[in-house]
Amino acid sequence: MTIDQEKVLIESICDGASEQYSYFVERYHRGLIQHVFNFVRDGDEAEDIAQEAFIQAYKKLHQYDGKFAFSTWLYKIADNLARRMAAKSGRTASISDYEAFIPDIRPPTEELIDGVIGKAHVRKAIDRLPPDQRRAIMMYYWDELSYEEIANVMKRPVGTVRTWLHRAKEQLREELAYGQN
Amino acid sequence: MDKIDQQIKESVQTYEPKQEFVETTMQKVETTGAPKKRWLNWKVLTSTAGTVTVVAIAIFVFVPHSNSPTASTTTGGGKAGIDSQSQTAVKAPINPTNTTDTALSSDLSSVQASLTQSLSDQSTADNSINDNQQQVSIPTE
Repeated sequence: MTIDQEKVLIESICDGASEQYSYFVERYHRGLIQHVFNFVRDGDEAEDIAQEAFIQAYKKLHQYDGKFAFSTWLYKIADNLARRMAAKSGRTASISDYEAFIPDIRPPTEELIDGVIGKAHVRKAIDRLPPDQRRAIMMYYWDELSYEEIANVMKRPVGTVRTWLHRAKEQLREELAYGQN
Repeated sequence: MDKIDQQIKESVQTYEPKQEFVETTMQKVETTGAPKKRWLNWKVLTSTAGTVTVVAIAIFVFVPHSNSPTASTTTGGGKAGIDSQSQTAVKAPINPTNTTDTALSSDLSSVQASLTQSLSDQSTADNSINDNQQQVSIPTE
């Protein structure tokens, strides 16, 4: 379904056909839960936030302007909720955020050769990125959003998002190369 | 794709949501009540704006304007037409072909002479009326 077709569907939901909203829940729930999960790293919490995002989006459906895809708008709502919940619980940043500028001097291990551990190593390196860069990386690589969509979700200029992604990649390249040598 | 791109992409930790997620979410949505009506409907807004514009143009074109110069004297559109009209209005009593100061002065003199003559004629006419009034006046005795 195209953006225009989704807009038509939203019009009819606003006119009272609320049962048609299930199309959006069915289509986007996996991506949205995964998106939130990347941020909170807890399955149940991710589902709660995603559910709340769907309900809020439904309540504010009349405010959707169709500039971006419905999914982008939904991600934005979920993103705000996730950050608000993190702030409320005092978990504004993970411990690894503060380790961002501490070089990893651990010697390379045999385990890194193993694919599973390798992935975990990359994830840990991503965790050590500054929060904005980390979120941009997650949205770009894992949620497969475009620069424009990330900029819209994060309320930042496209140029800033591009810079964040570039810096994040450079830092990851350095860390991972160091870990493998 | 760069090696680092591939590594980042593959590092995603997938999460499989619970099967009942869609159902429970829709139940909550149904109990939430209908979303608010759109107050800004683009179709309605654009058609209303179009109607207002058409009516405004119609009023401007068909309702006569008392202060505006007559359309027949306008030779061009916009500002040029207005300038042309104002020039016509100023030059009309004078000979429009004379543009030098001497010619204008001459024209002004002739206008002045004409006005003086007109005033003189008016005075003569007034005297004539007075005479006639005296002639028709009825003596009191």
